[in-house]
Amino acid sequence: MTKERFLEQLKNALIAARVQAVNDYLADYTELINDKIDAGQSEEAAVAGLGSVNEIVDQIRSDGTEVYPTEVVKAKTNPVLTALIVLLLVLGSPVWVPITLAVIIIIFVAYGLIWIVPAVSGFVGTMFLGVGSITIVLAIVSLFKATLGFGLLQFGISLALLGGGIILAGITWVLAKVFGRTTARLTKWLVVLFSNGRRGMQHA
Amino acid sequence: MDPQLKKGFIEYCVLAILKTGDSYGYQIIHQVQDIIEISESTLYPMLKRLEKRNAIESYSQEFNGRLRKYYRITGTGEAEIQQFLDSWPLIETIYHFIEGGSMND
Repeated sequence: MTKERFLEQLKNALIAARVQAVNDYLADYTELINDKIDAGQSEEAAVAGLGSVNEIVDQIRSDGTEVYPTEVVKAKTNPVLTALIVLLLVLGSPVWVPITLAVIIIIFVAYGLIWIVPAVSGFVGTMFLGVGSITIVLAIVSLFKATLGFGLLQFGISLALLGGGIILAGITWVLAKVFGRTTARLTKWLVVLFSNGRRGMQHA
Repeated sequence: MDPQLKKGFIEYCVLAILKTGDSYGYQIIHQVQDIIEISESTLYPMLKRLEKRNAIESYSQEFNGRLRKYYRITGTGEAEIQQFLDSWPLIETIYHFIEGGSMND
């Protein structure tokens, strides 16, 4: 390994190990390598004789006093700022409470509007199927009890109702899938909107 | 040899070497190696430790167009050597006690 490569590795390892006086150590080992080269060693032999970078860092770290203590990350809270925010929230409640309620209502209305079309088609389709099922039974009865013409007419209407019901059920299924995806997108958008807002407040 | 014991002996050896005259890293390693084995990675953390407790001090001097760091012993360092020499009778007593104990086994 070349002197430059070794010193670069040593520098990175010392920084990573939070060793103090990195430049001091780099100067010391540069001097030692130069002295060894001056004494007739090849650059590679001079570097190899020092041992591995990890060995050197371990030696330095074993003393403990040469290492910066591990930084303890603690959330900084300013009591004055917290009190001010609480005061503003209380004083501003006549403004922000109705606005928040309005936003919540708008969100619910938006969800409602999204689902109103499949809800209506689902409801009408169910009604068609329900009424069609009853009238087809009645049509069979009419075929025997009433006139043939009335019975066939009722049978035809029943089949039309059942057919309409099946078509509406299919439309409801397709609409439910489309609006389900739309709801998911809207929810995702709202989550992103609120989480970004919260992060923004934390950074402030 | 026990690493901690060895570390302590090497420190006294370094102080003893510097008592005979100022020296620099490469030379100190060679002088110590005549007495006790020392790895090149051990020296500088040790010199820093000795410097921190004021047993030695350093200064830079130009050599071959570059700066070389020299070390010299301080009064504290000389007192540490004396302390070690003064404690020798106690070390001998401990040695003989341990030696006697292991011979009785």
